[in-house]
Amino acid sequence: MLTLLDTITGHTDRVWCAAWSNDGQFLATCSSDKMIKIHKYDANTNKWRCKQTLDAQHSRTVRSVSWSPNGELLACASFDRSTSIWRRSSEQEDFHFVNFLEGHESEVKCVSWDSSGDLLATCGRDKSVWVWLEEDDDFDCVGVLNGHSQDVKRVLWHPNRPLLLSASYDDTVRCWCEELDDWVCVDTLRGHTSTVWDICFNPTGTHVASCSDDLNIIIWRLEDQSIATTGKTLEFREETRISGEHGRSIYSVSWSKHAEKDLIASACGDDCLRIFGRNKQGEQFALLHKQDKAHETDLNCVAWNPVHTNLLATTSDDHNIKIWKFE
Amino acid sequence: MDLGDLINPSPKVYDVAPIKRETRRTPNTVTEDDQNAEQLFNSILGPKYIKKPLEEIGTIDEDEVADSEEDEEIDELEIYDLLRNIKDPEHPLTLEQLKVAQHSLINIDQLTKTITVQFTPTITHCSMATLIGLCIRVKLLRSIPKTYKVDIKVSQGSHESENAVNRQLNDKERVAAALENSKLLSVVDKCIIHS
Amino acid sequence: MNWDKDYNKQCDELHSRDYYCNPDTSASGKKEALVSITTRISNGEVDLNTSIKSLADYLTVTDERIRAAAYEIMDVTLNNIKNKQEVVVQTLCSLLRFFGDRLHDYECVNEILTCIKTLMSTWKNSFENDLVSSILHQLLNDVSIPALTQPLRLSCYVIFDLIATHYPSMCKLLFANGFIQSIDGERDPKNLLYIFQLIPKLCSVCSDSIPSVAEELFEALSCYFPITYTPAADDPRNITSQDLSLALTTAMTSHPSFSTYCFPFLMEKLSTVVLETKKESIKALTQCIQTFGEDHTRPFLTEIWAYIRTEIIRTSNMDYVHLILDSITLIVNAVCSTNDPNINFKNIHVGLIRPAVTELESTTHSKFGALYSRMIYSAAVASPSICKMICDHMIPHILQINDHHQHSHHHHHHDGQPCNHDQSHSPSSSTMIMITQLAQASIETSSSFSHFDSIVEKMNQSSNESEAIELISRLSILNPDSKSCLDWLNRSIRNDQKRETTLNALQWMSKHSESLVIRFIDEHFDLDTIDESDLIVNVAILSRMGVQCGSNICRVIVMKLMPISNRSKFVMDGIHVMVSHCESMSVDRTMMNSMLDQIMSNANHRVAFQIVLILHSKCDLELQNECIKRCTSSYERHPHLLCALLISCRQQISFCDLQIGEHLITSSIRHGDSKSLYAIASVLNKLYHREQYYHQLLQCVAKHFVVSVDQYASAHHVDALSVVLRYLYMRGEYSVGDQLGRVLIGLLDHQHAQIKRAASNGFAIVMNQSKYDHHVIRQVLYKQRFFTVHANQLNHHRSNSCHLVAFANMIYQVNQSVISSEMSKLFPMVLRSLSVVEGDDVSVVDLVGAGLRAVKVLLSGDDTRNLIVDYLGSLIPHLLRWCRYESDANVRLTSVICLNQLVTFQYYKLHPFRQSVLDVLGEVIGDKKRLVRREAVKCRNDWFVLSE
Repeated sequence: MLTLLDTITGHTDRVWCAAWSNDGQFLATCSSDKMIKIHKYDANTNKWRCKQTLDAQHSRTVRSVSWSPNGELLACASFDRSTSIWRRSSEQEDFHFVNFLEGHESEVKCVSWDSSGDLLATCGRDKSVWVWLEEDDDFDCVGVLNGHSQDVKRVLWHPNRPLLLSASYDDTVRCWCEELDDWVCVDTLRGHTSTVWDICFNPTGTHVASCSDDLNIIIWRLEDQSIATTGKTLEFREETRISGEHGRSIYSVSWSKHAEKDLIASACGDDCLRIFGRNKQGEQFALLHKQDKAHETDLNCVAWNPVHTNLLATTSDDHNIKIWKFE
Repeated sequence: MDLGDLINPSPKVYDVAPIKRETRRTPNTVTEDDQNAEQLFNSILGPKYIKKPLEEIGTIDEDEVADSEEDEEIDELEIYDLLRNIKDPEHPLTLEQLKVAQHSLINIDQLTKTITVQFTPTITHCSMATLIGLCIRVKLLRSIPKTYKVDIKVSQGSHESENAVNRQLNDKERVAAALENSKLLSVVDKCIIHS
Repeated sequence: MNWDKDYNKQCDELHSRDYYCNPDTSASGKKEALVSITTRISNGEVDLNTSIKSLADYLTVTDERIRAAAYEIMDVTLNNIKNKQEVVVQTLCSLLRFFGDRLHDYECVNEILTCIKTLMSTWKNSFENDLVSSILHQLLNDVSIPALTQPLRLSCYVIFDLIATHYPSMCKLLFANGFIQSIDGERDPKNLLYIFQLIPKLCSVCSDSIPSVAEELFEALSCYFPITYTPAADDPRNITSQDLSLALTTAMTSHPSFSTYCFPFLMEKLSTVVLETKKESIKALTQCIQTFGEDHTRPFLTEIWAYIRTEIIRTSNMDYVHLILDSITLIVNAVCSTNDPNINFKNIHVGLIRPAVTELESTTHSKFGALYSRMIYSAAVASPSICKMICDHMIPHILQINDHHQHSHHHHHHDGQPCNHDQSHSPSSSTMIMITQLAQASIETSSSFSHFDSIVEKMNQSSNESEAIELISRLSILNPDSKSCLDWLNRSIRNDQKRETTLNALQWMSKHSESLVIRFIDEHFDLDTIDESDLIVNVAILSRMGVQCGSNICRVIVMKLMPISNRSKFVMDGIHVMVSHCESMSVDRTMMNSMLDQIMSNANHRVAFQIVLILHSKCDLELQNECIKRCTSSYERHPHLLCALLISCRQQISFCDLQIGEHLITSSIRHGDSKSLYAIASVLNKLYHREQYYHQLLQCVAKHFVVSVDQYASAHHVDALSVVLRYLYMRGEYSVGDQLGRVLIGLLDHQHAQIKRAASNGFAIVMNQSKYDHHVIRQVLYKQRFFTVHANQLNHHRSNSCHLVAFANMIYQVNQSVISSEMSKLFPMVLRSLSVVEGDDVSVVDLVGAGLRAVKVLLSGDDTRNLIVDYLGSLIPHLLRWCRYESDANVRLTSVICLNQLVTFQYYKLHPFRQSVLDVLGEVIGDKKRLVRREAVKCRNDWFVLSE
């Protein structure tokens, strides 16, 4: 059962991305209004309230936010070609601006911390993926990954291995790995027939789900044994796909962090929030719940809370953020 | 974008004929025979000379909305009205005059509230196609309630990179980024300002 | 003393001359000296010889400034001496010779040329040929004319002109010595115009010497063709492009020997790509043919026709096509004017008629058939004899072609081949068009047309409808006695598909023979014997004919329909359509009486009221009075008829029956009958102030209304009161008006909501226009007056929202200037009407609707809108509220329109509201009403693009 817990207003334009901090306490969101907002649950009112608005650093849409694993740093990617880094002042819980990462030729579309908190990846319309190394609030570019033939929409690190995934307008997902100081593409995931908008790992990192403008979600299994014929060290194989459920482009998928329940939530351009679960045989995903008109218009992002694993956040073009509970 | 060289210097210009929306007949108390006779008489007289209802004295004439209870859903003609007067980026002509936009190429699915607009670039290699599509996109973005979905495509076979143009026009992220480009936006605004 | 005087004079003379010639003298000093010299010459104090003598030394000194000054004095002397003093020819000759010899003095050529010009134009015939010839020689050889300034070049041309005019024998010399070179490169429009006018003169005075220089001269001229010239806005020369173009063409055709060069040249120009050049060329070509005449044109004629055919077929520009067609008529007229009919025929046969016949014969290219028909028509209208000649030759051919085509058509069909259904390109359609054009030309030239029978015979086999109808209409004019043509038209006018074409054909026929159309109506519309449904069809068709075929036929039809108006309501409808569309129709006694008869015997028909209004207003005064008199006597039975007559009559009306007036007033109060009320108001407005009857009627009005307020308290009654009030104010009858106005204000506090509402609406009625207003006298400022008086009174009643409605109803009808001075008092009242909450004693829609209309009007006036700036903060929230008002679409619509009107305010004033307006409009673009959405989209777009 899905219950709407709260509708957070405050952004004055479409809200693109929402990200929970690893401790599950904070929700960071970003919007075309150029703002980043940090929300926190207020037990008194039983509502989420905006704790801080990070303002006046970006001159265009802020497309993506990502927390460092320890929750001390926040990275925000913007169409203004820069990525901003913010640090929490330990005593006040407030964030202050630290640094800009500059290098992309045009819009930056996604930013992602790795599980160690040392590496940061960004990607954008210039078709490249950049890997940055953090050292005392200074960031050095340690790799520019070229391989996609179009706009790169999304980057994501493996939860426990040094693997980087990137999804693109060229219909593929690529997997990158550092070999001898050089980042190489170790696998290209082909299966979608249009833009891949988002990717997510399951909590253990054995599976990846990707969603696309072709109205499909594909579940890929990561296989490690080297394959004689291809010579690859690892490979993602399509395990199953969710087809025929979505009415318009799927903009976001999120894999529940719940240890037992294998749940995937999707945010779709048809205004619906959908939750899928593995069926009994454990082979396929079936629709468990479909929330019609979850927002007034397109959903852009869905994110399961990593700690309170029954909580979900969604963002939409209707300027709002919603918090849902799924039981 | 350099607009200095015209992509299609001499496009074909079409005559513009007004399109009428079919109006529902107002309920009438007269008998069917009377109505038939009236119809016969008026059909011979022709629309230009048809009898006007006689004016009564002392009423206030105003352009008023016929305030029937019925809701009027957004229809294809209404969308066409929004698009027909958009100016081509290259020529001082409207999309209607160039037949880039056509009433018949607009489709609305009222159930899913989805509006599909197909347009036909004046030539198949027209590099202005994306810009025209963007103008249509922006115009509808500003004119249609948020609850409607809008798909914009070049009509089948009318452009050599049909698929690429369509993908770009319907990638909302790229459209959003394009509209933050003030130079591009001012070109778009120029095309739609008086439409 | 005398000697002294002469001496002084002489001293003065010398002094002035020296003073003038001294280069150091100031401009004003020179002017003074020149006046002094002029005066003395005019007074005869100095003669020419003395002058020459005294100037002789100066004319050859080394200082060119002194020389020039001396020539100037010489010229002034010559100019002033003419007609004043007898001059010895010998002196003039020596002087001219002297000037000629001095022409090489290039520093003073300006002044010398002026002197020569003065000499030759003043003493025109006084010089010997030898002298003139040597001057000419010197002018063309010693002076480089193209290098001179524009006025000097013109002086040279004038001198050439003078020589050519007065010494014709010199012309040959003129050309021999390089006249043509001297005009080379001339660009000045004034000079060009002079040259273009000079050349025809040269051509006529020395026609013989032209042929030898014709090619060179024509080339010099033709390089200017086509001439285009756009004078500057403040150009003082007053030369138009047409002047130049006409003069150039005239010059190019000024000698027959030019024809050899002219025709090829113009044909070449005709085939250029520039449309303007083409147009100029065809005009020039036509003029050439007309000027050069048949014999000079003949050698080129075949080629010219070929060029013209090519042009007309290739172009898509209708102006050009018409220009060519007009030219064809003129050309044909020019080349078919010989005494030999064979030559005339030959001149148009090869180039025009034969290609047309060939075109019709060809089955593949007949798409140009219509165009060829127009060409043949244009040729045929040149004259009756040409028309007859063309018809006699072509029609047998055409009929033969038609037979042939129909035959082969059948043939194909039998072979099982697909049959060509494309009628518009089928040969029989083009042949039909061709015959139509020929028939029309015969009609327009009144020439005899001898192929009538054979054509009609063929027509029965034809199936090309619109072409056939046009042809039949032409044939029917050619042969008015033919029954078959009118039968044909009768069949086609009753066919839905052919009706429009037939009506157009009849319209055309009515221009050539109204009597034939009238006969058609008489013979084919026998209304007495047909049944109801046929009657409707016949009436409708007749009405359309009446509308289209002009006022005389319209009148005939109206008269034909009137007697049967009781048979069907559509008869009156038809008459109404005709009288309201046919403005020029005159109305006479018979017609008017017949109309009144019909209405009096007929039921009380609403349409009849309108028809009488229209017809009666077209009658003369005498007839109007007669009608009114006639209806006054039967007023009880036909009150509306009388009302219509009263409303539509002229000002000098003599309606004096008070009792009827009183009847009309009471009946209108009792029944709320607006027609009789308008009649009274109309009469009141037409009567002169001084007439006793006027005052009686006025008192009657006041009495009935003031007294009967409580007696018949109904909404109708209040409406009636408002209408009368309006007319009283219009007429400027303010004392009675104010009296009734107070009654209307009082009604705003009436116990019944319905009455209050009607009263507040009454204020709109008073201020509104009506289509009947054109009958009345109108005080210019009556609205202002009404507004000022009543706005103040309404402003005192703050409790009742009906007052606000009344107020808002007034404000949007009154002149802006009146309001702007009172804005600070008035606008808060308007805002108050917008801040209404549900549950007030007046309908929210009425109040807010009126308020918004007022805002709309105030925003559209330049004076008032600027004053609204101060209220934006309170106005915009109101508008944002009402543009989402669920219960009434008009309220929403007007609010959005008002929001849209705001966008022209300065950006910084609007900026604080921009986001909230855009947000709210974002909702309104999803309004359930299309009209509201449309306005909202427009408005939102305007707010979007707002900028500094």
